[in-house]
Amino acid sequence: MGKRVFVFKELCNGCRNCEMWCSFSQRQQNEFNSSYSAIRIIRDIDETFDEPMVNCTGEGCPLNEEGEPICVEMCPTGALVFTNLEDACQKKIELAEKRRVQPMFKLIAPWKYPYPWTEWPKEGV
Amino acid sequence: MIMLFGYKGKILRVDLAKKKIAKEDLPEEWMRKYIGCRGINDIILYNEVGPSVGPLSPENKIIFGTGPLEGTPLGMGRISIQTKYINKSIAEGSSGGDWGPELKYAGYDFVVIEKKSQMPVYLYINDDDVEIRDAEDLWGKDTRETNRIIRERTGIGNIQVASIGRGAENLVASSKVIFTLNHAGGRGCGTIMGDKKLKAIAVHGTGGVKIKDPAKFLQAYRELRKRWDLKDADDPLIPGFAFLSANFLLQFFNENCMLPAYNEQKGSIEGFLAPEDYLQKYVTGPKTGFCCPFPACGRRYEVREREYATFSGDEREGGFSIGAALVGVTSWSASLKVRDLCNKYSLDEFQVLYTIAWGMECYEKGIITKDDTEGIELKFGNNDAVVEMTEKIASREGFGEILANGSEEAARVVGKGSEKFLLTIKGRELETMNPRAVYAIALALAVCESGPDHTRWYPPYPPNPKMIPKDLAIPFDAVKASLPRSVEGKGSFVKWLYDSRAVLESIPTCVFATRGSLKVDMKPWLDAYNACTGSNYTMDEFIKVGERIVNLERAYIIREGFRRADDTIPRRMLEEPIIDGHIPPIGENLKVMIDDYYTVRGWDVNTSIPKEEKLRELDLDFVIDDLKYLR
Amino acid sequence: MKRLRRRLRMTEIYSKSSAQKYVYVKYIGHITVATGRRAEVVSLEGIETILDILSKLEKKHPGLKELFMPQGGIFNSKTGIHLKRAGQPSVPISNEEQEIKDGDTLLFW
Repeated sequence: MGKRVFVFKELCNGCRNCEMWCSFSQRQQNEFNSSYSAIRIIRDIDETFDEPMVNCTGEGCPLNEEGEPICVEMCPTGALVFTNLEDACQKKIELAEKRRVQPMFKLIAPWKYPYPWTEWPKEGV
Repeated sequence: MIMLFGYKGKILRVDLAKKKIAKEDLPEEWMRKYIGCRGINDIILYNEVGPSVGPLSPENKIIFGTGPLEGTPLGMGRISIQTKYINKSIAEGSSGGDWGPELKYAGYDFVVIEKKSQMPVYLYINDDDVEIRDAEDLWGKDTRETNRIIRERTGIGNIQVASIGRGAENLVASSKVIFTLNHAGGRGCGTIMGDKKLKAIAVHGTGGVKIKDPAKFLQAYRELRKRWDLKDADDPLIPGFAFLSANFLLQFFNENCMLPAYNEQKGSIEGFLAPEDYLQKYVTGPKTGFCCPFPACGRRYEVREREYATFSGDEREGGFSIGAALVGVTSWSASLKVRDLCNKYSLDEFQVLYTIAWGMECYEKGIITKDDTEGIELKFGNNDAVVEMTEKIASREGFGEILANGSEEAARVVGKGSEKFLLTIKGRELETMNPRAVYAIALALAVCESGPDHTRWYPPYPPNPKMIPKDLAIPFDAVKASLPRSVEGKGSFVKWLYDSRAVLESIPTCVFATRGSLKVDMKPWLDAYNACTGSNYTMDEFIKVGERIVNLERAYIIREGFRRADDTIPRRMLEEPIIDGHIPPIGENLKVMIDDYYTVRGWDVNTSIPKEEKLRELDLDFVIDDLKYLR
Repeated sequence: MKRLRRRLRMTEIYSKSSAQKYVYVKYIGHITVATGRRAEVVSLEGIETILDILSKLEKKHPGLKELFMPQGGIFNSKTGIHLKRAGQPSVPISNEEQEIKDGDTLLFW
């Protein structure tokens, strides 16, 4: 199956890096303007959540050296992944399990966290 | 009209008395000499709000400023708000959020608010359509409600609203302006905004920001992202701040006895707030400002404890949790509640905390009694007292009436030797950074033109000398500057901090993103600025812009009457040690450092007035006439 | 007999307390996440320098030494260790031969 951009909305921090860089690499490639972007961050009127809305297979997007579209490269938490359906399902299950045992994964994806970690709390903190 | 890259080239002038809007072109000379944001705010204030203008008169102006990189991912949404404050010096603050980029997309770089309005109003900006609308039914409402009502009324769901709450309307000292719910900025500008009866500024824009050289811009950004990479970062504070932001410093300061505990009498606190508890119990997810490169520089939280009613929100500034040590608060839910109140009522948490802490010390030493406070027990560690006192300060009720004018005014009213416990510089409260532990902080606090403002010189720890690239020429000695309690080399180090942060705040960008070797290596930002606007600045010219901005600010306050005698730090830092940390007071060392700083700057050592040669070197000839007869 | 036994017990306790030396180790931020705890007590048997302490802690928390000394003997600038002794302000450690004494507190950050 082909690759597309999948979203883990509980990891979205509302930074809008994806929206800005997507608009930059579309069309004339020199303007930051969210009306050109293929991904939007949606919030409610009281800003209680941030959710990326996207429907993109990476077609027409200049992929970087690792084969990722620019929105996936610039996302700081790992809320966006560019992969096929099987891998995305596995990542979601991994995220849900690890979030239960280590609160650091409320803030960043386990596959993006570069330091060693253990379950919390352990042996009476 | 030549095509501008980065800038939009427009200033919006709003006359609240005559209800008139004017759109001016941004002079090219200003873009070249001062870049933008804080720099151009300074020159507008210097030219138009002089010594004859009273801070609470209609002639005072509030300026909301953005820069060329605003609206791009490197700008990180930083804006600068500036005005002339009640103590006659500059009140300047910076804030994040989506408001600044939205102003750029609407087509304006600066908004200048002039004169006063009779009735409460709010400003509505939607691309070319700019109106002053009636806000009488919004006056008295808190910032969350104002945001919601304006969004419903205009029918635009994502319109960005900058508003003030009850605290600023009641002219509480040092109030802030709240940008879209939880970003706060401009210590003191909220008071002036409340005085002018401007309730809110709502902005919506559909444009974009054009870049001159897109390939170079992307390259400069990727280079910066590498320096911020969590795995390869060469600064221990990057992983700490990336997940916990300033809350990370809580335990670090507590162990090293650098917390401002109990009104800065001690360095560590019993039962301090542990960030791990916070992460486990209250945090629900990450939440950052506009285009922040770090995963969780802020966090969403939810509090369900019964004593502080259920509420949720997001925070990114642990300045509050560090400040909670001032009053001895040891519960996360209480400190989050006070922070929430400060944002709703647009109060400044530093002013509130330092004033309450001063009140607590006076209460414990018997200078004020329960009769004065109308039954509230102002003792260190009393969580409920802090929450109640914050509400009273916002509405100016009871003892809150005395505290609402700031701790210096309160000391004048109360008397009886309570001035000994004050922690203010130039009439403004400190900002929880500890001068006795790190002498660079002491020097930077003393000479700051607008009173204590940590974004003007943050971070005050030089990078590890081994990590500085060998071919980089830096104008200070990194080894001497890295010793925390020595006076040598601090003058040139603090001069570098001020100059480089001045230009970084003018581009604009977030000074909290300068870590590791980025503290001294300005090349990626210079490349990004040149690529965005198409200019060809060299590194010397770039840093000179920063030096020019600082000298202009110094000239401004000299004209108002400030001299070397005002450049000092509170009595407690000079005379009392941190007992539990075995750290001595600063004593005579401050004088030596200030002499060194003025000499390196080219200013007169006795008065701090910039010398003529320095002003000519920086293209500030028009300032020489103003300062000629001043001593 | 009782007095002799009591004297023996006192000397036993006395020699135990003077023989066993401890150091308090505290973790903050992402080091807490790596080790799963906020603080622990490490006995000073067979330990003289900071390098020995790191090697001992590595057995309990694999990956910890790599965070502080990625090149196996030189402190990096990605993390830091502060040393606090009674009666003195806390100082950062930059030398792997730094001696550790009884009653010290080490802050790993």
